Amino acid sequence: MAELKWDKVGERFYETGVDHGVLYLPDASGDYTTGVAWNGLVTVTESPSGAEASPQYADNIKYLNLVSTEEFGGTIEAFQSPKEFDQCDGTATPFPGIQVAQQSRKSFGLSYRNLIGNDTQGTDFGEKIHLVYGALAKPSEKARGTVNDSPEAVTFSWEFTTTPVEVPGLKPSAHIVADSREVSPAGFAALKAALYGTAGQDPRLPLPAEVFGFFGGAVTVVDPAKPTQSGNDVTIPATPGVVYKINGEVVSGVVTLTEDVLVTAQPAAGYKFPPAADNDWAFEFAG
Amino acid sequence: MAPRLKLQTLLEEILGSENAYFQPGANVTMEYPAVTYSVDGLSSEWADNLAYKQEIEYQVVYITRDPDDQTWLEIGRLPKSSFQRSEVVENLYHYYFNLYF
Repeated sequence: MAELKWDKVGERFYETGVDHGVLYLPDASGDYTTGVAWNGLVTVTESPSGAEASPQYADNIKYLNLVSTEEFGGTIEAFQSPKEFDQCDGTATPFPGIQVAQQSRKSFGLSYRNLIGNDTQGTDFGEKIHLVYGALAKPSEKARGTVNDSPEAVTFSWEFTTTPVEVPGLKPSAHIVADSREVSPAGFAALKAALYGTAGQDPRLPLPAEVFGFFGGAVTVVDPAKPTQSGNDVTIPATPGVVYKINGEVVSGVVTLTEDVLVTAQPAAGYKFPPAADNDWAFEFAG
Repeated sequence: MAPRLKLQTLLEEILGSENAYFQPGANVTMEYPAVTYSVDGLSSEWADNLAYKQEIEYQVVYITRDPDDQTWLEIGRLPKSSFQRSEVVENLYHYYFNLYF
């Protein structure tokens, strides 16, 4: 047994700030393989909804509570958005610099970070990385105001809803948070390497199964073997823990080229690539 | 061109002379009409946990011997300029502005 103590030195935690915003676009198979930095992030407001109790009465008593499904949504406020977000905001770009509004909206993934401080180390104590899946932005108001006597920049705002993705062993979810205070440092480093990219690999948003693989046990390091080309045939290596894709579609065996292609590799759940490992290779159609 | 030098050029164009003085020392002999300007503040807008956008606030003073000189109105028409006050010191008319540039 132990007596409770409040506000001990080093345990006065707080959360602050938001930065390291990254937008991820899904490929044809639903993997978030393209990540771009989202600069100018001012706030990310998390607005979960649902989970409303619906009381049921029987036998003259409150018999049970039925609870509706919980949904995740939010609002992004920023001074700007990356141009890759235009397609998620219903804007098509038929020619560079020409934007056509009222088009179909693409879903996107998002990651951002908030800082965790305490009374002894300030805001350097830790961080939480938030992963958002299946987000869909709603049309939003953009107010353009005259320059006046105060130097204010326009802040844009995008409200989004989400479609949950599969989470191993749990209900589907669209929001995962990794807290650096509690996860293994090696797993956290592997997650950050995936989210922010490395010298040899593009940033991507791992799906929950792969995220769990970083923290649920030992992560196996695998070096992706380069596919080989003979004429118009490209042989995809059968390396355990490596998934090869062409245009977002998973490929294996021998692929016959009909055009120039870029083969990309990504680690399967429970695996990671060395930081400097190359994971994309271009092959030319021989004609 | 650095923003401060652009402001210098802009003020000289408004004055029609080179009598624009940035943070002049006490030993500077000014010719009038003149503008003196000095750093008065820094406006920061925050994003990504850092000062994402910063603009320097200058105090700009238009000084003239002519009470009917209307040039000070042109300084008031500049974007992000706001008139603060006026005063007369030793028969010199002073018009004070805050200007973000």
